[in-house]
Amino acid sequence: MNLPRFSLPGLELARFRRATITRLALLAVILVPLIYGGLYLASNSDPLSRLTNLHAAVVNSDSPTTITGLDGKEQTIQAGSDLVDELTGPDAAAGFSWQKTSEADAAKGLADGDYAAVLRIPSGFSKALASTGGDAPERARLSVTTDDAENYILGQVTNTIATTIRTNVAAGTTTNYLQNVYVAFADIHDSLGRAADGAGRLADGAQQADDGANTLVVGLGDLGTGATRLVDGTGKLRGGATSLAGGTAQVAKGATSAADGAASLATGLDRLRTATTGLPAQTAQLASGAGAVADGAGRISQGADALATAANQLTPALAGATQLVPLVDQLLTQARTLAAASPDDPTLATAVTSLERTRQALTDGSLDQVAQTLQTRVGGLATGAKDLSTGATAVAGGAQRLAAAAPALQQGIAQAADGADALATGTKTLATGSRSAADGAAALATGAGQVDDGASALVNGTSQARTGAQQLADGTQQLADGAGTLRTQLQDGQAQVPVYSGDAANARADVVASPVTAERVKEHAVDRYSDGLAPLFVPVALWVGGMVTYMVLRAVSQRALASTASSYRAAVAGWVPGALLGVVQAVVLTLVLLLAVGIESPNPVATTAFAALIAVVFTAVHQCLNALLGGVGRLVALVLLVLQLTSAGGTYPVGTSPSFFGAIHPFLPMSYAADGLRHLITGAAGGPVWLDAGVLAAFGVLALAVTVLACHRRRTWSLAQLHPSLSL
Amino acid sequence: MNAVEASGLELRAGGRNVFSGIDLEAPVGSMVVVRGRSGAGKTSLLLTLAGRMRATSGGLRVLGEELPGRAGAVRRRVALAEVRGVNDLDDALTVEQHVAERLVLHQPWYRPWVSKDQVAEQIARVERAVAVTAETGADVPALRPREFVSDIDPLERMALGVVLALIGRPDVIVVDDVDSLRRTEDRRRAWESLSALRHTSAIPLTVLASCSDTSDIRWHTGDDRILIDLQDSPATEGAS
Repeated sequence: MNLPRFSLPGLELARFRRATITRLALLAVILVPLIYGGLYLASNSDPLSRLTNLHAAVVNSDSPTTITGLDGKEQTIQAGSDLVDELTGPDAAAGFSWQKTSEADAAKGLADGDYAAVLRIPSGFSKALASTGGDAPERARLSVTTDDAENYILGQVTNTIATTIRTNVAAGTTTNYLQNVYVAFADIHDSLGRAADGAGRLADGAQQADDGANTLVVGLGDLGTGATRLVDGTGKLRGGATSLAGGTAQVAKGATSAADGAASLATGLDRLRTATTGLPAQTAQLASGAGAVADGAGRISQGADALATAANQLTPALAGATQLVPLVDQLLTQARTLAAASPDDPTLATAVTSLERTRQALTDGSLDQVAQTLQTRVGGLATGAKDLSTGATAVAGGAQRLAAAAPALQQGIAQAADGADALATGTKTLATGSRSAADGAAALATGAGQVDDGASALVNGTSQARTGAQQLADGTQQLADGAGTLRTQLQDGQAQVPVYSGDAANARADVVASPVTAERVKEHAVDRYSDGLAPLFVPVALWVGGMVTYMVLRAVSQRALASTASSYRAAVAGWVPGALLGVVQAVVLTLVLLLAVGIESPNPVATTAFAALIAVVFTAVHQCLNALLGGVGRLVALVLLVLQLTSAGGTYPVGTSPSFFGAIHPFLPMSYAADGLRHLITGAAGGPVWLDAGVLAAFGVLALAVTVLACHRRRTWSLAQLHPSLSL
Repeated sequence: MNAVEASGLELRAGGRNVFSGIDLEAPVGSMVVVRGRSGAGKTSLLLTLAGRMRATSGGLRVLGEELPGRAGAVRRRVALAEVRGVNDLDDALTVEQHVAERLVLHQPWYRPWVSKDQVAEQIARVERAVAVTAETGADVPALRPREFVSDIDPLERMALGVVLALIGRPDVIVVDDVDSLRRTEDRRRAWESLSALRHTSAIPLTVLASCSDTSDIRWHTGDDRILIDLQDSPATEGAS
């Protein structure tokens, strides 16, 4: 087989096979990208997760405050020390490793770069937190200070940390409490408003009630007057009713009597009718009898006259009166006959009686007196007999007329009986009715009595009612007054309960929504990312410039080495041109950055000078590497570049890189170059700049010294140098 | 007093003998000519004698200084004319710039520059030296200060190298590969000039030179010449 042993690419690479150094060169070619990419990415693998490698100071100037809670219990708020505990506690998750320090230590540590940030808790922190529920809500302010002169990116990162801390505080128990308080305000306010409305309505109602009560008092007064009149009326009514009752009772009694009378009348009339049935006949008899009477009377009268004459003669004939007794008996018998004939004639009866008595008197011996009396009487009798005669005549006439009228009479009596029956019936009815009326009148009287009693009670009652209504009016007035006061007080109370609107509400809402602000303080702040990165990239640029310088320039002139001049002269001779070029590079770069790119520095002259120093030192380093290692020195310079780029802490603090980078950080010049430039660009204190400049100068002196040594060594040639395998 | 004393000097590198068995006693003001083919180790031997290469073994004293321990002191007193691969002249520089460079190297560190007058003075000095050599028939052309090295002819270039070497006022001067001059006439003038140069200053100058062919050397009576022939090593030829 005829394998292709040689090819142009193979031949080109074959150049490197001859010596170990050339093989290493190939290896370096392969590895340089790895070194760049690997180291750079390794150093920036996760800077934020290593923020805990950085120390930060927390300064607590807060003093606890006491507030009264919703439940009326006093509560002590010490938000400052709570926050410190939280930050320094085992579970802290707020970026850095926080340490509680004094203000002086914190300020010094920040300036020295020992602390990445300083969190300051002001003296009124707890008070401000507590004020959220008060009249003048105030944000609790924290301040997080970083120093751009120490690191720019960190200043940006700290924003996040500040936000985290702020959120942690806001989520703390104190704030929960305050938010509750605050929310309760709205409820209280609303309730008071409703209560005031209710009290207002109550006051209105009480006022109306008072008006009503007053009207009631007046009405009750009227009622009292009326009731008094009513009592008068009912009194009269009562009297009237009583009278009425009496009257009607009498009427009833009268009616009853009338009824009885009427009944009797009817009975009588009936009997009369019955009795008068024979009346015409009887009257006819009567008339006859009367005629007989009249005749008899005439004869009586004559006899009386004769009697009187005889009586007059009686006295002298008294003695012989007893002889009269048969006469008297005769008379009596006649009278009795008369009387029997006319039994209803009292005169006859009386005459009978008188005759009897007379007979008695004649018989018992008392005739003297009686004689006298008789004499008188006989006188009277004569008179009477005459009258009787007259009368009997009249009676007879009358009886005749009576007899004539008797049928009409009987008829009339019948009619009268009928009428009496009706009367009896009517009066009976009347009696019944009048009894009812009497009963009614009695009931009326009773009722009137009750009415009167009631009216009296009404008078009393209305009087009492009026008194009560008066009291009611007083009471409702007081109620109205009280309700008015209640409304006023409630309105006052409502006014005192804060009500927030507009800007005030917004402000409070802001405060409640975000009761804590974390003020970001950047000491020596730079405005822009470019300003922040310039301290890293200016040295990087100058490093690259130094590399290029010694690609063009020889680090050490061979002629100088071969000359009889001293080694340090040779070294300086190689360094000075590079250093001059470096100064020019630095000045041009700085001027363009300051004037065209817009990097700002408060001290451009010092910045330029420092950049020039960096360039001078870097050229010394590059010259040293070249003088010491020749072409390999340039490879080393490349590796050193990435090592410095990753360990200078130009972007993130070196503490956020793996510890390897932190370990090499102090031993590389770019760390000091970046630090010094950062202080100059940010305008921080000059002390660190002088320190950095000193360290850089030391690096330069060291590099030059090594260069001198290298020159010294290189003044002795080897055969390999005479016939080099590889020129770099 | 011997400028160079060597005994059994040997250099081994890369598994081969570059040179070996060099024994030499060269008095001050003598001229040592190392002869050998290309690659025979002439330059290495010259550098070793100049204190700029370390011999593997053997004894060596230069100007009374023990090597390699006192190499620094030796280097300050032994100057190299242009040795290819060691201190090549810069084609981009003019003659006067080379002179200035060498002058600066010999000044204290706080004077990193030279004036035109200093350069001119050196040039004048060179002219005087050239004039001296011209009397011996060397007829070396005068240096044109503004000429670029790339533009001057080989003899002038060699002369420049020698002139630069002399600026440090050395006790010994090393001139490598005189045979690089292609023209025979140039080689002859070079040898003549080097020979004459030994006596242009108060202290006699010792010249160490190399070539592959010694036929162009005119051997003058009284010349203290020593020939080291590396071709037939260890063939050492002493002539008086």
